[in-house]
Amino acid sequence: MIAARPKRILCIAGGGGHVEELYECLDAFDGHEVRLAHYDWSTLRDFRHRNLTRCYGIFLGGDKGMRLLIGTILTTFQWLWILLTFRPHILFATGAELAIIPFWLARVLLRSRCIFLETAARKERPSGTAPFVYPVCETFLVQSEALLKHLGPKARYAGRLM
Amino acid sequence: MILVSAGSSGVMFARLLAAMDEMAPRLGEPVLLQSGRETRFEARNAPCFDYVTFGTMQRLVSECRVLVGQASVGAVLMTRRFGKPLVLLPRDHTLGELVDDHQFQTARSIEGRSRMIEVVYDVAHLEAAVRRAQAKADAHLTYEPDPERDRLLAALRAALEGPGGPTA
Repeated sequence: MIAARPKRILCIAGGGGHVEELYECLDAFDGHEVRLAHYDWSTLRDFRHRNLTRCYGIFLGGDKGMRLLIGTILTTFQWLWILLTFRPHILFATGAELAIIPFWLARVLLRSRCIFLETAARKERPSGTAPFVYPVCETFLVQSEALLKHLGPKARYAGRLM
Repeated sequence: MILVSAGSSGVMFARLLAAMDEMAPRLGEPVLLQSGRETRFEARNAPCFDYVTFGTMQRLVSECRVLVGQASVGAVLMTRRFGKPLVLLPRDHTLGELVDDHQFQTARSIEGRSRMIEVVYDVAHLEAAVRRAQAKADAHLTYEPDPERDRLLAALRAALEGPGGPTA
């Protein structure tokens, strides 16, 4: 049997619970090169896990108007730099809206595979991020079977973190 | 030590913090309050800080005997990782403590799933739940194995296999 080759995995988390869920999932990535991108540098500057080799702090602009537009443009260039230098085989996110731009860029430019785990906080309705990343995901996991009726055939329940 | 965590949100969870501050002198051990990013809670009976880094929070949870917190995914996962008894009080969106009812959904889904977790919906029942959690810590109870978590991690490992992605 041929051993699976290590993959380059880019994990994406916002803050709070998304990060805790991602921390739990990092246990599944033994033997691969894993990096993390997040925007919460104030609390995650000492985020450590045995499988994590590097963290990127993502610039986050304002939430409306020109600040949102300029912030989105700057963030897109930052994602391009990360994706083209790291060249991940796989992108993985646990529900953060931060994943929308890199999922699309990596799928279109690099043919990377995208894995999305809907946050455990969503029990009855999907998050706002779900419909934006669903089209480019190869694997779309939910942690509540009640969500399946709101999503397409790619979505599946395969266990939960809590 | 009893650690009280209102999460990293900038919206104050005054119901939880005030109730725990008020009962702190009766609990027989130190109480430490964490109020949330850029919030100012004037505690009278316990030290209070707004937020700390991920690593510092992990250390505080590992050192506490009981965690009392909002009904968030982060509180549940971090407390379980260190095997500590947990008391949850969901934020109430009708009181402006959150934008929607997802903490009630989390609380209902986790309720009864582990002997280590107490869910409280009314602060009037909070002290009794904290005392039950202290008794669990005294008895060195631990979390039950969770096959659903193992199943999810196995599904993630399986999802990593297969071709795809850049070749260089």
